[in-house]
Amino acid sequence: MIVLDRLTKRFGTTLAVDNLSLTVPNGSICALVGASGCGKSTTLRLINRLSEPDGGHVLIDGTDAASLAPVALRRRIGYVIQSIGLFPHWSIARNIGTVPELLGWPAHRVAQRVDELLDLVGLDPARYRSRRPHELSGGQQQRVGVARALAADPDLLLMDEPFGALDPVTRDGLQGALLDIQARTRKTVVIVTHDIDEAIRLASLIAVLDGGRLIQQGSPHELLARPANAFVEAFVGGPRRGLRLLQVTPVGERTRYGMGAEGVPIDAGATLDVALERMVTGNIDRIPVLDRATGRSGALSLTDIVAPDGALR
Amino acid sequence: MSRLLRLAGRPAVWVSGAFLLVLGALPYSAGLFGALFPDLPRPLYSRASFLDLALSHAALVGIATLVVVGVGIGVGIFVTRPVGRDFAGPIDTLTAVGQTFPPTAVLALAVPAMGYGGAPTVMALIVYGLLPVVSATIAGLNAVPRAPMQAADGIGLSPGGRLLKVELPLAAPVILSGVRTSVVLNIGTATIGSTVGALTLGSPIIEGLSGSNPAYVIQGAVLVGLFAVAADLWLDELERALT
Repeated sequence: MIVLDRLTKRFGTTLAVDNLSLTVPNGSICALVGASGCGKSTTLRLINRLSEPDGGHVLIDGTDAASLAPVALRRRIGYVIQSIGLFPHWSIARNIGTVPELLGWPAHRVAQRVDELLDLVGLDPARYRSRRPHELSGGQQQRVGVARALAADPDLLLMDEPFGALDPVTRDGLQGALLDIQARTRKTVVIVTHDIDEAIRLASLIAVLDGGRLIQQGSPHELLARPANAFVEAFVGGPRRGLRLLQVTPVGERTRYGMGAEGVPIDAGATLDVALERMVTGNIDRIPVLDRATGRSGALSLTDIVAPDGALR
Repeated sequence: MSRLLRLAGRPAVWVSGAFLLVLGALPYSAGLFGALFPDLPRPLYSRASFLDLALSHAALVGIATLVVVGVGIGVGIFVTRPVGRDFAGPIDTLTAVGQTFPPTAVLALAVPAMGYGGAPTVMALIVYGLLPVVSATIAGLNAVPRAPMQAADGIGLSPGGRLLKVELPLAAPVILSGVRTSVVLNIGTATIGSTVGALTLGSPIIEGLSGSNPAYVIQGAVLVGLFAVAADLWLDELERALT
């Protein structure tokens, strides 16, 4: 568990981070979002002590980060940046093995771990391990960047706009890979992004920052359904808030169990945007729902999607 | 094997071969220079063997280069660290002044303190050769891309580890080009060491100039020239191997 306790950071006279408190549960993905200069990257850098706070504490599983040696602390925490920063003069394998090597792992164990990680991030070890970074595309390089961050099996992964410089298709692929990796390894991830769609897709906890202050924190659904103020409302949704809400609401929440409908049932765990898409493309206003976990079945109508209590105004 | 073959086609190999050939053939060239300069009573330099001159010349430049590389890269590293950043300006000025100082003046000042011979020559070469190495080291380290440096810090390399594993390897080609300039400069500059009694390939040149013996000047100049070009080409090979 990562606890940020009343963190404050000044640059000259400006407050980059202002009395920020936030708790990130173990095994969750937390997105720090906000406009440029809102303090989200600075907050991330306070966690692994690339920057030192002027006030407050960072507690990692109960231990004050300030009580640990910075270099040793960083070797325990994965770190991924937008500019990737692979070492251009080293092979992919050596790049990924950097931290295990620093930690004194025996060579055969490092080599084994490198291959494991290349598999995990979706790159064929035999094909890629001895290549140089410049031979890879940007997306492949960032996959290696993620593998390098995970090399010593850290419990915590910090990501500073990791997919911000990639094209939409590549970004989508890497977001999927990250979700997949997180589902398998249960890492705690803190990710900085200015892309609210990325935050909604990846995070279970979103923290909205403005002017160094934490404006609101909550699940994607909470933020979209109940934005704390106009700033959050504009930031998380703007004109697309309703559509994004569909992306974070499960079908099961609106299903009328016991009712029936024609067609191939949709899973209750799918989100409303998928159900709406099925209705639009099928020219229907009602689809069957199946809850695979409980075996219950029901139906979802267009009205159920539009109005939470099933009653139109 | 294919590596050796590739090397055989390199100019560095050819020029080194030419240097060794001239060095080996000169002692037997009294007839040639006698024919070219019939008025000269002694057309071939004979106060010391050309081999001894070349070895001594190489040793003086080699010692000076070791010091220049050690001190130059050290200073370059120091002024690019947070602790030494304030010294970057003054150091830059100091090394530039060192280079504007004529080497003969350094010799004249060093002789009273160090006596005649090799020591003041090495001193002058060090002062003269520092600038290219210091400025290349600073330029090379400053040109290391930001991203790998940020990543190095973020994943837990210590400042020293980052310097050795990331910064110096990435700056190496630029630093080496500075070393190359320094070495070539000093192979030429070392010849004036013979004015204060050091044994160098400049000895025939100096004696030829003072004794109106153009044959001596040619013999020394050709060897120095080939030596400098060969050294330049070999360091160029090394630079390429690093990039």
